[in-house]
Amino acid sequence: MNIGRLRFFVQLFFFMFLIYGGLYSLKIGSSLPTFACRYNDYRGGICALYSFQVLLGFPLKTLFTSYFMGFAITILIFGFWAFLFNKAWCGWVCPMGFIQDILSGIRNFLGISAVKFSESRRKKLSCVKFIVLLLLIMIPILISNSFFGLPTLPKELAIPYCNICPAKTAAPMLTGNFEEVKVFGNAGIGIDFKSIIKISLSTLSVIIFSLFIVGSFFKKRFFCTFCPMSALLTLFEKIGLIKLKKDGSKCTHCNNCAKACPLDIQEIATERTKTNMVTSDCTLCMKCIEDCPENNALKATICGKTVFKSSAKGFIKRQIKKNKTKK
Amino acid sequence: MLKKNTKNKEKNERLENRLDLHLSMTVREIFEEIDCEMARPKNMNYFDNFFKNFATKEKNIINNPNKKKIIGYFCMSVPEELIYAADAIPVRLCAGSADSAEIGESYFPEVSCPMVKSAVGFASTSVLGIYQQCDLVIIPATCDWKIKLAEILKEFIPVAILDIPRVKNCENSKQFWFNEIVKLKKIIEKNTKKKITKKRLLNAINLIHHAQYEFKRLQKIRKSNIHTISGRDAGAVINAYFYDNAESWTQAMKNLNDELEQRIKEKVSIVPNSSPRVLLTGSPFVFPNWKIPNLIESSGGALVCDEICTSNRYLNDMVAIDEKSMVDLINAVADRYLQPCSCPVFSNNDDRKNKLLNMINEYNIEGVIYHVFKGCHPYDTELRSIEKMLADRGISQLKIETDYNPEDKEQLRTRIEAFLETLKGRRYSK
Repeated sequence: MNIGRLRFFVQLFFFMFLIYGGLYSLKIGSSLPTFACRYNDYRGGICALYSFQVLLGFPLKTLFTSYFMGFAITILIFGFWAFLFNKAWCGWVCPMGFIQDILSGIRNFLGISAVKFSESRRKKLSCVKFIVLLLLIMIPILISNSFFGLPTLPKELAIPYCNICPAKTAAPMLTGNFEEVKVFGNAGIGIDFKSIIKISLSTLSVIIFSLFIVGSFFKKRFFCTFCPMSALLTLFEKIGLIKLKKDGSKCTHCNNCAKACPLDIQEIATERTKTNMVTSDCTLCMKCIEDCPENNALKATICGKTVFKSSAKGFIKRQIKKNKTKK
Repeated sequence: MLKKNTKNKEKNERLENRLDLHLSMTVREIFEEIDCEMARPKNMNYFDNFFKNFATKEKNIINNPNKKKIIGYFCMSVPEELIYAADAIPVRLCAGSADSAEIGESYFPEVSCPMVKSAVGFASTSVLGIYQQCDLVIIPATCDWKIKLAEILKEFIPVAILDIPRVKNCENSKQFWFNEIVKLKKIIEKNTKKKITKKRLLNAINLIHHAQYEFKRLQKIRKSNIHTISGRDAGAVINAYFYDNAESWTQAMKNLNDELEQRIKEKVSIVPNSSPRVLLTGSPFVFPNWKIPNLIESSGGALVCDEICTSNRYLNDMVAIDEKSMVDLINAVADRYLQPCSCPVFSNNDDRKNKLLNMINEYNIEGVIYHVFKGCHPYDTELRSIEKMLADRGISQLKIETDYNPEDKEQLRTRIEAFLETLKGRRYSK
């Protein structure tokens, strides 16, 4: 079985599970390091970002008393999941990633070539996700706590990231729900005219959702560059069980890996000394390993055990096969 | 005036006759020696025919029954895929004849690359048909000699220069090189009057992938400690690829590989298994200049591997198809011919050192022979840093500076023999 196909089926499975799993009472917890949207009624799990924002929304005083257990458990479970699968959550599980891959597939089918970010542009843009992450942590805290006597932020800003997340628009739509879901704001697409904050948040949400669709059609994994979950998972890039490793001495700098990378990470081709190649943008999709023609130059390991490695023979076989298939 | 012209004509004719005679003699001499060799793989016959044709009167080296366009090129930076996709025949024109280098001498300074001299020698005379049959010659601006070669060859054959960035790993040069390849594609299309479509390009890529698959098989066979094929023959096989159609070459190569794999099973070796394993790197060797590999092997060494642009480096790197839009394909083709290339004209060339070290490990190399042409400055200059790298790791090395002339053969033999002796001696010290 070729790894590209394996990835597709794994992604499809998790897509179905996380979007429609709830229909069959399948749930795997409320702190998943992936975009399993809370606003989708048929969800098979809940995104950890949602839980974090809700928990951070309690006043800090209470957080360290009665709610502490809840908070600690959420973080521990999140950490456990992230430690187990590292960034593979992005490349193999995330339903939003799957939607992006499908859109790229349609583009490829139409024969349109993908837009690529240059290295300098990618580096600049990938800072955005850390800023988003910082904001989504700070805003809930500033709503319920007043520091140095400053006024608190309005309550309507609660759960700020979810209000603009494209998953909040996309996931309910996929289950046929285009109407408002009254939880903390409105899911579905449209502008809410209740207050100025709502207008701006929902407008932003519409803009981001359209950018998500258009962007990921023309650029592979467009949204992943800005995803705050990817930023949060960066904490685990060194300790996660699944790793992407490079042996710089075997590399010929042929640039195949960087070309195959959906996030245009040039580092994978140019790096010579570092062995751990899971960087903040990496989604562990392992396309780089597929396209590497040197024996053992790149490999994916689980607990130090090699599960997939690059080889000259595998490369050429995959290439000949790829050439045969139409499109 | 008229008298002068006829005089010139006469002189040219004399030159051509002499070159023809000398070339035939050299070729015959080489094959007479080869005929005395024991246990040479039978399937080498197919490849030999290309070289034996150098000595015939008609010199039909390229098989072209359908009268397709012939596009010649130098170096290994010209995408063959594009030429095949335009339904033309690619021929690599890098030349190795000492006799034609003599004729080309008048075009270049005293100390200069014998390869370009030899190429001009052939192109300025009509002895070897493949040079003047070319409808177009593509010359990449890799080293200084190639740039001047392009200027000189313009007098005899239509030439297109392919500019190439010398600093590979920066975004600007990637963009520049991509644009150059797009330009080249247009030039080829104009010349052949055939459009390079996606389907044709994919077929061409597939053709070369299959050839490279067989090439990689041969490399794997050579890693074995049973020496089934001589290093000269392994080079000759790839040398034959210059003139052959990739499809028939692949088939012949498959037969050869099957034979060699059979030999490994039967433990048939052409040299004693105790022969020191040698790696050859540096300036290229092209038929009929098989001086260095012949010397190494006749002195008792086993040339198991080389890092040379007319041999191993030529077919080593492959086009990687990711997506199949035209832009992506051209980009993939462009990348393959620039990024992994370890020619010393590029900077920074750590890739070459890395490659050499990997080869030394993989092929269990005991000594490295660095071959430099007189006047080949890139290889000569890079020698220092490679010498240092090898010395740091305690790997024996020998530098040979020579050109196409057979005169220094026996002196070189003495040096190579001494080197191989020390390699054997070193085994005891370990």
